[in-house]
Amino acid sequence: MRIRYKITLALILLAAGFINAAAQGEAVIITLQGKVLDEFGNPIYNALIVSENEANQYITNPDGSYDFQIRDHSNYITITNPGYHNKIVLISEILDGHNVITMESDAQFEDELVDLVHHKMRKNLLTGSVSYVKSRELQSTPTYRLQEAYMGRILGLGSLERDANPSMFDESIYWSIRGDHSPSSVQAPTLMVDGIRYEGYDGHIFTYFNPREVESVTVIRDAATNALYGILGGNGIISITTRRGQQGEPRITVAYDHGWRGMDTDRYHSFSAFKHAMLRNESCLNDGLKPVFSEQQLKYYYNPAVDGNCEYGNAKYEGPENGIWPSNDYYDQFLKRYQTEDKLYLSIGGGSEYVQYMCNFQWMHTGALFNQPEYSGMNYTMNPGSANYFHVASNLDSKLNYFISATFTLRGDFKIENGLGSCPNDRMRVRYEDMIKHVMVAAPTITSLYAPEGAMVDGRDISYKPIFSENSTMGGQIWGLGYKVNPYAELTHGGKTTKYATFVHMDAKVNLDFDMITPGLGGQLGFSFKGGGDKDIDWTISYTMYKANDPSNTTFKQDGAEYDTNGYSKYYSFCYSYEYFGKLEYMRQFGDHFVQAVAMGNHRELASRDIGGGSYQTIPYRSEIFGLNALYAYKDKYLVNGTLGFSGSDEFPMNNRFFFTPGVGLGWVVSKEDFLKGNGFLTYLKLRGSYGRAARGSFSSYRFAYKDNVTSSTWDQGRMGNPSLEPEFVNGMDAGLDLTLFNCLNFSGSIFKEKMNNAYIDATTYVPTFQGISLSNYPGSNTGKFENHGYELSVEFRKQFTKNFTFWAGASTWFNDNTVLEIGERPNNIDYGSPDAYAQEYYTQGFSRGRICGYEFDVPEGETWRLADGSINPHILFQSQEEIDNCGLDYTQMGTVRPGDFKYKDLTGDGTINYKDQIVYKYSTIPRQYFNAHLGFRFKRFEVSALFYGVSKYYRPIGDAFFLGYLNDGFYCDLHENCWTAERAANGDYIKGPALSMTSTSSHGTNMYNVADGTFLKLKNAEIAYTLPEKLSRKMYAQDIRIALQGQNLVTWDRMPSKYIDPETGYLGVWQPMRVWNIALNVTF
Amino acid sequence: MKKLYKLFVLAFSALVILPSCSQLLEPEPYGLVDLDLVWTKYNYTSSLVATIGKAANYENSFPYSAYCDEAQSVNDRIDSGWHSWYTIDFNAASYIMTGGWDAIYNNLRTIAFFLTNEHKISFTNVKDEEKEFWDVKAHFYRAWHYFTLMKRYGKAVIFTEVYDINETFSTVQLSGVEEIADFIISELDLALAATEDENSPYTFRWNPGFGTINRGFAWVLKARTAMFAASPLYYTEGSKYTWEYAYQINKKAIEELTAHDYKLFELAPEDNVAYGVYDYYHIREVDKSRSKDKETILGNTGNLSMWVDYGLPTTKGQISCGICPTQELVDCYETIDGEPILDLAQPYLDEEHLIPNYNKNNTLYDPENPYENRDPRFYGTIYYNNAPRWWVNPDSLRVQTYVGGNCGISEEPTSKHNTRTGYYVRKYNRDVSNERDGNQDGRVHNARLAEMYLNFAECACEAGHLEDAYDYTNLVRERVGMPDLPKGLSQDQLRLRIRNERRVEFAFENLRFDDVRRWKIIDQTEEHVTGMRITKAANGKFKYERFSFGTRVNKGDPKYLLYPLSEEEVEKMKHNTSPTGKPEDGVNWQNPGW
Repeated sequence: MRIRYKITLALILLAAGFINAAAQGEAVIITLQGKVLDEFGNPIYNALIVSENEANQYITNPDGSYDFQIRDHSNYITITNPGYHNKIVLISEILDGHNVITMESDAQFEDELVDLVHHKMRKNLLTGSVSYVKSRELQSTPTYRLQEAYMGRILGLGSLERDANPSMFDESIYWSIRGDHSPSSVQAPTLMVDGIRYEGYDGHIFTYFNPREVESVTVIRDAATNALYGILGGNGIISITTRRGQQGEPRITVAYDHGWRGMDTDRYHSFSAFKHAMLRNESCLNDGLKPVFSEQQLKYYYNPAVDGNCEYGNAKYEGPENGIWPSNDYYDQFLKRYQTEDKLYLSIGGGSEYVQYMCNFQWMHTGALFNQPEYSGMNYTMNPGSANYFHVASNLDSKLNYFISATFTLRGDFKIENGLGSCPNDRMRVRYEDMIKHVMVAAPTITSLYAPEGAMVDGRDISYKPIFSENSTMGGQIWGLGYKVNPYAELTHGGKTTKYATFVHMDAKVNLDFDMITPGLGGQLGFSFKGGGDKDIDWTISYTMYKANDPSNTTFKQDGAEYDTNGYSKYYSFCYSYEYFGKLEYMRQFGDHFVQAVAMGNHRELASRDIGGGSYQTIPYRSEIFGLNALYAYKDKYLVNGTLGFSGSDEFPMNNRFFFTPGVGLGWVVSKEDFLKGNGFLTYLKLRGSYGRAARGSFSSYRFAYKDNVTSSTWDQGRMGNPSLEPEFVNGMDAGLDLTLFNCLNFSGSIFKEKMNNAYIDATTYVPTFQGISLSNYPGSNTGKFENHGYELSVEFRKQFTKNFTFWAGASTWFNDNTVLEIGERPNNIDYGSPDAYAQEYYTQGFSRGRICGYEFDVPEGETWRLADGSINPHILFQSQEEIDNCGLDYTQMGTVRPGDFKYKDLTGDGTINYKDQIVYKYSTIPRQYFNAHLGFRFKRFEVSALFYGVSKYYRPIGDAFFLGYLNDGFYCDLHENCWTAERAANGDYIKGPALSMTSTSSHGTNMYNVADGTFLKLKNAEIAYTLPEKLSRKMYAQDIRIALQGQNLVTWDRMPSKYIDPETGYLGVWQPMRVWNIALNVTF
Repeated sequence: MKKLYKLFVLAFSALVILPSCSQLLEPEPYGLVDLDLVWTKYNYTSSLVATIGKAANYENSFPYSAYCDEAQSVNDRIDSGWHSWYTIDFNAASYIMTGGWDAIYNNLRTIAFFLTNEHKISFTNVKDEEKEFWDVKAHFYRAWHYFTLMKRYGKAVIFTEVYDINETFSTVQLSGVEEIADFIISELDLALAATEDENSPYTFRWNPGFGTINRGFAWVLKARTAMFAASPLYYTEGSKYTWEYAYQINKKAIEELTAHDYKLFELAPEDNVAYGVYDYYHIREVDKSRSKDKETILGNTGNLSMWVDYGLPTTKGQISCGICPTQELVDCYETIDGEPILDLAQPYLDEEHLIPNYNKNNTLYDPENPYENRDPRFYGTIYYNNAPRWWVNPDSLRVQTYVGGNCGISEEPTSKHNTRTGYYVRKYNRDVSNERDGNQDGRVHNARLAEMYLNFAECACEAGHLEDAYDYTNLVRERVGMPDLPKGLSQDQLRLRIRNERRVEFAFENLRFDDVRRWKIIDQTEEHVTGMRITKAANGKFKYERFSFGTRVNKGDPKYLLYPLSEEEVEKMKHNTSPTGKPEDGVNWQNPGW
């Protein structure tokens, strides 16, 4: 242990020694001037020019010009620009006057360097499946978290925004690379930023990156490539690289965004009070209960302007004006339509041969989420949702002498966020979650949520105090909140929380050039530290609720205790992680032979602590990853790639701690063969295949699952450990081809198959509970089996037709389908007719992870349960009590069954409908098919682009409390209209759902009515941009001025039963993904 | 220069090779603790001992009342356990009563672990008497746990050594009631055999104060065990637990208890705090010194908040009226002359209990004035229509449960504030408890001498010792001022009177749910309950109308006599005990009907 620290220290001192010892070679200065143009003679802006010895670099100006000095004895320069083949030009030629360099377009991007976390490789040389997106595309997404910018953009990276809670970040997004990889938990890919791992819990900080800071986002999909990262690679890897300073004059970018963010896509609107009351009464009548609202009350609630013509039409309208018979839309009253978002970004980058730097600064402000109700007694501002974010990131690359260079990165973030009161312990998110529910369940018939001016109780003035009406059950406990639910009270009397979050990241690396040992060898040693702290200050005010005894709002009585004590609490947490790492890289071309190799090692510790928590969970996580990757290419045509990972973590027992993960890949670039060379039709063709083993090092929710854990405070029997625990291994095969037609139409396809033979599962299949150890404490074992396969396809077209017009379009789709082969499931008896028979022998084994079990409707032969017009087939609903009595089936285990409830199939044939009649539905909650399409064009100075993203072959169970309708005072939306009633059935009306109820009924068992098809297609992103003419921008001393109008989540096409449910969340009562409009201004000086 | 490069390469290789060092990545010392450490410190061992009673069936409320015929829950129309109980015929997977199979066995394992390993104790700062008391606790709780298992499941696995982690469970045998009862009694005898030193804080005592295990309760458990094992549900032909055997054990228990100063509580309430001695007993504060309350054997220190959770809607701060006493319970209270109101052999003429079969010998009962001249315990247990709200100045406010009254019967299906049956629970509720004056309500007793008397009376009656049965039933009746049972009843008639006495005396004390099961009478009691809707006519007269709550679906089915084992447990044991590996050849542990 200690020895290693000493060695590290010694190396750092050693590196310092080099600086002084560095020899200075005498300089020969050559000045190069000229232009870089494309095939059409357009200037290429931002092309990178690098000298042979890599010491001198330059980035071309907007007019394509370059003007720089070569001082490192180089013989040639290399010009690179994405979408163009690399161009090598001899310096002597330029000096001879051939200083206009024309670049050829490269539709396949075969020369582009692809980031592979610890090294970069030319795309042409890859033998695995890697996809990526570059900075420019990310910038068209208006976002305050970087993740949104690449959601849906990268081939093979699936995502769903499960919850758009304003206080949630990465944790609310479901990420998957090639679906699921194991039957156990933790499926999210590993996230790396500049080669350093970013964890989920501190990941929220990295979301403040401006997309402009980011160089690329890469997704590594195949097991053989992921083998290099050992226990981190099993779920695939997302690698983000940030931009660094380049040689050249200082380049200043200023960007300003102003956006509007809101759940605008089908924003929820409460029904009118009359409609609500009618549905409430309908539920009562269906249950044979007395209606909640009397005829007289219905007449009062009736408003002809809203409720249309009906039998109550002749009633005297005593609507909302008098406040007694209101029709409130509390959602609309309390939730702002849009949250504003302002973002100012400033970046300066540049440098000389010896020092390059880049500094980024960002300030972001988000506006309030709620309409703050007026309340005279409030002497503080809450503005939940309003927040200020500051982000500073700078990096410095410095060349100390001809073989040592050093790079430093420093990033800092600071956030001040306001939230609702009484949410210490970092639970701001929970209170937002509550709030969105509360504004939805506050029924429109509730007179008002606060007492009007002059209201008295026991001679005391209680004006503007929170109330709830007597005929309401809002005092009930929902969602564990345990107190009266009144959004007005929460926004005026509920106190507030302010969160202060800070985060610092720094890393330092020393790069060594070992050319003198052998050309092409380099090394790096480095250290990184990340640390962050959160502090929440929570101020709560306890308040009293008043009941309005009668709807005329004149008499009140206090409900519950009254106390005016103010609560004040603090909560803070802290986390840090550090890594030290080193690598050796070797790259050299010997004639036709090319060799590239990297060997790397990394030690990491991570710790976090919630003050007040404190358990063994806060012990630092330790892991080490070592890897070796070597590539050999002959004439860039035949490729052989070998990988060996070696990794371990403290989550595994000492004698079983480190594991090898090998991988091998082969590639053949057919188009470089003589028989295809120069062919104008098939301009590129590569076949590739790989086989490897990646590992999953975290899959148990426990730490140290190999150890026993007795709760030492009570000495109760705790968890038992499995002393032979090992990582889960994903053995994956991957085969693919990349081809280009006419140098503009790219096609890429991969198929993959993964098998896991040591999945971590509960080993309690046959362990009874009477032995005394709780089964959840019984040790699991690596005995499960899992399989996953799929494919990825993409087509990409990009062509510059004329000087002024470029068009591009692309589409891709990726598919995965997994099967849980072995999870220790006991087979069920399928001897139909016997009382303990099940409909299926297995419910998990042989099915996908996340499968859904439910009942099957008793649909007559040849019919479907849903008719073509979307209504429910009347044959699957009981139409009368008589029909229920005569059906011959016992529904008593399902709860109440009434006319208007579903008929289920008795699959087991025992005459009873119960959970044993459930079957596994076709699709699971894990999406199988994803697709995206993007297209755009550039015409003169205009650029238009759009991104579509969709998912299919997956189901969402949506039968939550909101779906059922009877929640609290009743929650009714478009789900509950036109449901079955005897009258509607008799009239042959359109029937949307089973009869409404005041309690749970047999219809609420899982069935295809409350499991939705989650298929959707979204216009995820669109942008229209205009770049000002050069003359104009020059007048403003700017090089480049671009104005863009951007939109996110603009249109959704889906199959959800309610327009208020977004298919990504699949639930009501959560924050649905937001639509964002944004105006972006970008100026480069 | 070259040397430096070499050093660098060497250093780098070292970094790569280092993982072979064995201590690498070993976590820092952390809170994960090895169980064997428990014997090294006094605090550790005593903490372990403190956990072994966690799953004990100790009730500080009366959760079972609305699951039997004592009450109808006010939550019967909204999603709740009660709603499910009334409307769903459960299966083993959906059954909602907590049987405690998992939690109890978890404790039993700890007890077995403790008793078989305590010789490893290596610390010395413990007195021998305390170590002995730990053993007493282990045996005592083991007995109590097995009693609960026997009562609920009718079967249990008896083990005294912990199972190995690799155990296959193929030879595990279930024990029947007789075997369990033997084990319980032998464990209790072990506990009782310990030395008693009234001055030591560490010994098993007769009189340790409220809510703590004691010798008296050990005798209660012995007596209960014998009575349960002899009851129709649990008795099997040939078992030694005949009624006669139960009679003997109960007799011994009462001798022991009375010899140690246990007496029925007979203090009259002062200052009108209660109606009579019976309800006064139930609202009294804790009497740890037992200076006045010599009846309670195992009491509670925490009191109920009846006015909040089971309160009247007129009480400020009431949240719910909780559960509502049924008409059936009200019908059980005799008139003050000691005559039952209904014919106990067949109390109702119809299935739904809407047509009462009045006792022809009763002359005092007036169906138009049903709440007059009743057993004093009625007035102390139930708020009925026109009941005085306060015992001080009783005429100042009356509880009006008639339709539209100040505590009127609930017409709104989701309201929790008003009664569903026409009655509220008064037992445990001190009438002055409210928001301003604070909670002064009483507490549930887990065991009291009156139960021992009626247990004994029941065993005596069943075993043919009718004189003893009379005497001990009458002791309980005399305490509240009810006349003695009439002489010359047949055994069958006496049995009905004793059962009725139990029902009245122990209303809302968690005994009824078990009683109807062990007597196997759930088919008569559990499917139908009724309420009383009272309407006030213009002339001020009340009209009384019995109404039904519909059928509690299938709750009279014999399968509800015992709790089901979890389906998973049954499936696993079928597999484990099967000689062929096929589950159908294994032993089915499930209780009948499930």
